[in-house]
Amino acid sequence: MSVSEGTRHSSGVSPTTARRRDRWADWAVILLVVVALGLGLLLREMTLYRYDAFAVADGDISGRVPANWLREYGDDPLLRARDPRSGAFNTALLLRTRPLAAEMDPTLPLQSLALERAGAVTAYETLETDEVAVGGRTAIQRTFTYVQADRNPYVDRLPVVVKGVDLALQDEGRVVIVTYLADVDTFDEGYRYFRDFVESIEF
Amino acid sequence: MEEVTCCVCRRPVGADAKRIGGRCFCAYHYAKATQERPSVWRAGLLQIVGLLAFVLLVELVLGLTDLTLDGWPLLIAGIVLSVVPALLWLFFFYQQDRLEPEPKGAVLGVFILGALLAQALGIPLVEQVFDVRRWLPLGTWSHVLGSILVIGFIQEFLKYAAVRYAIYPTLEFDERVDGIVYGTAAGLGYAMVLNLGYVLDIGGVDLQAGVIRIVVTALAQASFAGLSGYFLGRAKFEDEPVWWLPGGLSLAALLNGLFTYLRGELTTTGLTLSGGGVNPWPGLVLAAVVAGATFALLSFLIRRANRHTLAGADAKGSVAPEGGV
Repeated sequence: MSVSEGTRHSSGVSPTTARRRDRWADWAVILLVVVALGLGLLLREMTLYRYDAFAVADGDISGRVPANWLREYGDDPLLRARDPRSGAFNTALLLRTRPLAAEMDPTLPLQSLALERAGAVTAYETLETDEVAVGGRTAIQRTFTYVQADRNPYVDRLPVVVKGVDLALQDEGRVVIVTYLADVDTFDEGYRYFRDFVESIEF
Repeated sequence: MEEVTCCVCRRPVGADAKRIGGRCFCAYHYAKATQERPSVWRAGLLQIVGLLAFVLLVELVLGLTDLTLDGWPLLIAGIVLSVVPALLWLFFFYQQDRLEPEPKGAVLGVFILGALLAQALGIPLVEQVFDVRRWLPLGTWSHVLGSILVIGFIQEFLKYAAVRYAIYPTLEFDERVDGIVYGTAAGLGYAMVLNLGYVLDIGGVDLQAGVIRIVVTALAQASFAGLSGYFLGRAKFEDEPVWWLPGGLSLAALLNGLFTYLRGELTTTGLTLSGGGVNPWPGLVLAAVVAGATFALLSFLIRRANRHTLAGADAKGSVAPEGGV
């Protein structure tokens, strides 16, 4: 059989082998894309949900806070972490404590916090109060909303509707309150930070 | 015994068929597969020069007339600008390719398929599923790797798929260089949708910066799709190993991702009292250099492959056809 070879390749595979190789190549491309996108997803998770450790109240309360967020420490709140890239209203996590006697209703600190906020912001409204389980213990969670208006006369910015959550975790003689605040449009997007933050807290 | 058929038209060709690697060809498709198509390179070169001239023309008109548009006129101007790169390429390509033109329906079909895949899958995947705007800028490594793994692979795979699963198995894909032609068409379709999305999202576009961005996107998308198209063209007509196509796609995705990152770095400037924040000109220079280098390299590689094939055929004493049969 004389077959003219018109190329530098001279392996001379049969058409069937060539077609089989094409099919393998197709599957290899698909596999490659799946692997690349899987790695991309992993990279996304590692970048977005990277945390740094923190400790406040002389190391009495510790946990992990999003690594790319700005952190401020003080007396009240003990910690304020905010995402500087989250638009006109920075998504924020706050950590504070309130004294609480053993026989007192754990919702009282939340009510007091609500009164403070209602006086400071516009259109404060409590949405719902629930009992939730956090790390095997019961906690009180309150969802609220308000309008944040920039009162600076030189800033031309629309008010932002803020949605927030207060979570009261009872401890001996005190309650640890974690607050999550976000623009109502990005509330769900950042909720995972709140969940991870709460799960990381130790006291 | 297995019947020997042409790998393009599937017609029986007999035992003495011409081969490139392990693939058999009828005389007509052997000649087509190894055909030189200078018109493709001329059209590519004219496209790059034409787009740069188009940018300068728009900038000149805007500079001389102090033209400012807003509302609907601005939106319509943005839409027209988005479509110009594809129209320019089609014009140059068919003007240069008059002797033996690719079927307009096939080229337009791949162009539209590239556009549809961008709108239906590419943009939703990049913008919504991976939500790259939220995390790419958070670090240099996340930016570089994310641009390659997410933006690069999604965009390049969709453009590759528009060629591989639409035109590649057909009789119209009968030359090595067709991979580049149809890849470019898919890339320009993809670029058009990216540009339209950019214009429509912000309800118009700052014409001076917008025209540069539109041209940069078109040049980049066309170049990288042309590159993966080159690998497709070789894969169809030669005996390439299994890693050839994944390798080609990876290279296109790598270059796409690096380009995306570099463009962001080069065009972002610090804020000054006089405004600013973005200077699009370095992006245009980068895109023109990338497009020029890519098309020059592909031209060299295709010509070299054709020379090797024909030289091999001559050495074996077979007839090396010139042009179509």
